[in-house]
Amino acid sequence: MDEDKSGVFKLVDGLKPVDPKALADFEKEMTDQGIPEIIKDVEKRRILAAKSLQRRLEKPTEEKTEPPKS
Amino acid sequence: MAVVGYEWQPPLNTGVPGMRYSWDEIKSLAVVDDNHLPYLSVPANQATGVSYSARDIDAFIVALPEKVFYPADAFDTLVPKLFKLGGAVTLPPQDQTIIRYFVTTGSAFRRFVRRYESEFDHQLVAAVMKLPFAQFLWIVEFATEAQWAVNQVAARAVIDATASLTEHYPFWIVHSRSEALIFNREAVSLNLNSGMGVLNMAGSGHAGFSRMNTNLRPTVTK
Repeated sequence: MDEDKSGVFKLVDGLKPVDPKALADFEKEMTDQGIPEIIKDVEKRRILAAKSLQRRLEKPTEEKTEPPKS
Repeated sequence: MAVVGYEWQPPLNTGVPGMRYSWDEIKSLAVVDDNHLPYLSVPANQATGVSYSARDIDAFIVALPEKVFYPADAFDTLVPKLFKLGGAVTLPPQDQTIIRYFVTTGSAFRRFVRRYESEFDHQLVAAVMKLPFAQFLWIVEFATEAQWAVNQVAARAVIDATASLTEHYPFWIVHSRSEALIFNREAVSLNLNSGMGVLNMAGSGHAGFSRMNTNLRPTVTK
């Protein structure tokens, strides 16, 4: 590794390669669930935000009641 | 109205398992509401003697810099997945962790690490100073209940705020007291064999890192 150091290994001293097996669970979780869920959640929030722009301001309930007819 | 501050509730020693977020620990918000005098304290939960609580608020609008492409919404889903990194970096048990995340700048993070340099392994400090961070970062802090009570954290993830939502590894650094995963973000796709590495660090000799309380430069009175 010392002879062909590149990228982050060139930049940071003492860095050792990571066993890809140690990251397999994380990668599987992200592929199967993480990224699809993140995209879905962000889209859901975007739609809610867009809908909220169309919301009309409501008057407090007590102001909605009509005055007694005389 | 505008939220201008918050107050933490006294640390709880619940002993009840379950991941919590830092907003669960907020006692009240300091708000400026046109209908009241300035700096109204709005409790997180409904209480007697107040007209409304934070629970009555439907949404908060937070202005983030336009270069922050990785949205806050994504963190609610991403953060629990980080515990799957447990094979490579030591994180506290998920059901005993309080999570806090916030946006900051690369320079503010470097300033923080330099200030608390003695808490970090010298190789990790060197890595923080050398990595070509984007201008904005998301930081995720992991703390146990005991650490939260004394403003400490067990581990931290430094995430590229300019990353795409579809990236598996949007990280710059994920570190605990014993290991630090360092990622190469100069390549478009990460090669696990050559694009990341681990620093195995000697015991830091402390019970936790200081929490990064101030994420942006404080306002200075002229």
